Amino acid sequence: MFIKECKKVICSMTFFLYVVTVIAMYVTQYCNDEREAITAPRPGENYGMTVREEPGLIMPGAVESLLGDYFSGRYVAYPILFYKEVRLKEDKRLEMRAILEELTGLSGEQIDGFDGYREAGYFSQGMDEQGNPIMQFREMELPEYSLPANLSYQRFCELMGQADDLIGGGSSYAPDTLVSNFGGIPMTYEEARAEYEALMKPGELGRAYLRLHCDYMGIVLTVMPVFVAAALWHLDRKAQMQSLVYSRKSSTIRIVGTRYLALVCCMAVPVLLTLLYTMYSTGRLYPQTRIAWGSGLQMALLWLLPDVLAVSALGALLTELFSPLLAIFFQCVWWFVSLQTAGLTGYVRRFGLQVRHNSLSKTAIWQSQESLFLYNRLSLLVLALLCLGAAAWVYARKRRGGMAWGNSLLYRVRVMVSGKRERM
Amino acid sequence: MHMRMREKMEIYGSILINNLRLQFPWPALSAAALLILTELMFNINSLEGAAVAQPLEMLLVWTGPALLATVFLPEQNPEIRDVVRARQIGYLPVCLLRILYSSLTVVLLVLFFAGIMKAGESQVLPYHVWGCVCSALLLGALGLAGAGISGNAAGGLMVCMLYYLASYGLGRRLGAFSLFSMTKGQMEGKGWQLAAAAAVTMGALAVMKRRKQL
Repeated sequence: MFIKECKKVICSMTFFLYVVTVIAMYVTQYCNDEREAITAPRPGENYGMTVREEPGLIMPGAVESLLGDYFSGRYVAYPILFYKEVRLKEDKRLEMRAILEELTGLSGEQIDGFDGYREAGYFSQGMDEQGNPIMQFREMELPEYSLPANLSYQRFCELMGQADDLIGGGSSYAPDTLVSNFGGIPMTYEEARAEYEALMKPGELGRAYLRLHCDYMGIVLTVMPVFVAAALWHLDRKAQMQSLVYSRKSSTIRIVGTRYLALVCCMAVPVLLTLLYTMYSTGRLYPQTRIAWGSGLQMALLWLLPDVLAVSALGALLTELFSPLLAIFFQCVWWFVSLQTAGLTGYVRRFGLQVRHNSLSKTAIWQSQESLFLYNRLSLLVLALLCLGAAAWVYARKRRGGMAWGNSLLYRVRVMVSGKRERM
Repeated sequence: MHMRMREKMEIYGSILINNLRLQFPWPALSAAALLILTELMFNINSLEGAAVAQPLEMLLVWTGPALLATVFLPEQNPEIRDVVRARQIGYLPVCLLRILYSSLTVVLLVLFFAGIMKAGESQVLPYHVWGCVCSALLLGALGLAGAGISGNAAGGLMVCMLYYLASYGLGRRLGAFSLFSMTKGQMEGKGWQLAAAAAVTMGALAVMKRRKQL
């Protein structure tokens, strides 16, 4: 029975498209990203930026930026990862001015009376001898102010939180993003060296590459399995084989369990193959280094399998209850919302579909999130089990001739919309 | 002659009414749900330039697949298919009629959404509306082709998702066929997507006719 179900999955067009998507995602995203081995930093290089929670660094930068936004009348926010330009209405503008009064020590009249604001940026300063424009960077021009001496970092964060609320959330002034937005500082050689050494620790290098692999593959595995699951679960109804299957001697748990297992096993194959290829290609990038894959593989399976399990089980349940299209619609919406609300790096929430860490480095951020990661994946596993159990229960009821309410509910809505009864 | 024409018009009129009552409601409801979701998920007030294109290209384009990938859905039930095949009026004109009113609905929904954005002081240009309609119809045509040829609406929607992800991942490499070209500041070339939508639809119908699916 398991082999038969596997054949049904493998021979379906939806499975073929699933494999194409998984491979396309792997080739165009992961393989495109990782071609060169990471090398040790050398003194004198540019090591990129790092962030530190230093009030002396964050507070002046954030206040200057907020004051600039106030004068320009435009606030940039990314409430769901998309760019949003907010203009405040008069009442909110006055509330923002009150926040700035406390942050800068200036009065409302002094702020609104200032008319010399100029944006920062590169400006042309005439032409050189060859006729090329001479570009010069000009700092933002703001009124003279200084941060009040009695302004504590805690109060500053509160005020920034209020400013973020006025903008509508998702701005760079949100308290939990202040450090990453205004705490940026060039990485020192020592810090770059420490980051490199952390990455090259036994087991960590493999984990870093598999983490990036999972980050990309997680995007497709949180949506594509629903198509395959919905199509397979709908197959009996489509082929009008329901009565035949319902009257079989096998137990419901066996039928549903075998079908689900076949579905998950087939869909796991291309994922495992790409994982193996990642291990092979990473091994080739570091021929001198012995990479320990054990913990990395554990993490990868714990990352990706719950995605396949949960999305398939939810798809099966909704298809069994209502219709395959409803299952697809629901999953696509969930996928879209969770993908757009997820940050790129170090994004792990207690509950949620997406886990993201789109970087080979930033190991410390990932390690600080590991318990959350475990919690998240276990919650998805529980969801998968609950949905599978519910799907089996619905299937058992249907075999006994019950549970027609799912279809009749849809039928009633259709009658309501079309205003015409049709024979079922 | 005149009588026959009138008779035909009456028949197609009755087909149209029945389809609007029975085939259209679910796809229309899901398209309306997508419109509401776009409004809820994105800020659509006071947008300028490329920011205007984001809600249109990222989410509203899915109204195309919602309406067009489901064109063959009723007949994917074998019982209904057999009844349709026994009818005097061919299945192809019925499908064409559905494609026509579904495409028209896409245009109306995009116009409606653009109106909401305009009311929110976003600077929506006619090209944004045109671009969104073209992309929605291309995505819808791919869904229609996938659903029709595979005989499975899930397959059709999967083709759409594949193309959407390809546009997401490949970016400018898809050239004029990228669904997100306006978001990336490219304000031309959407007409190619409309041409591709028409070609894909006609190609799919031809293949289905040849395979006696129509």
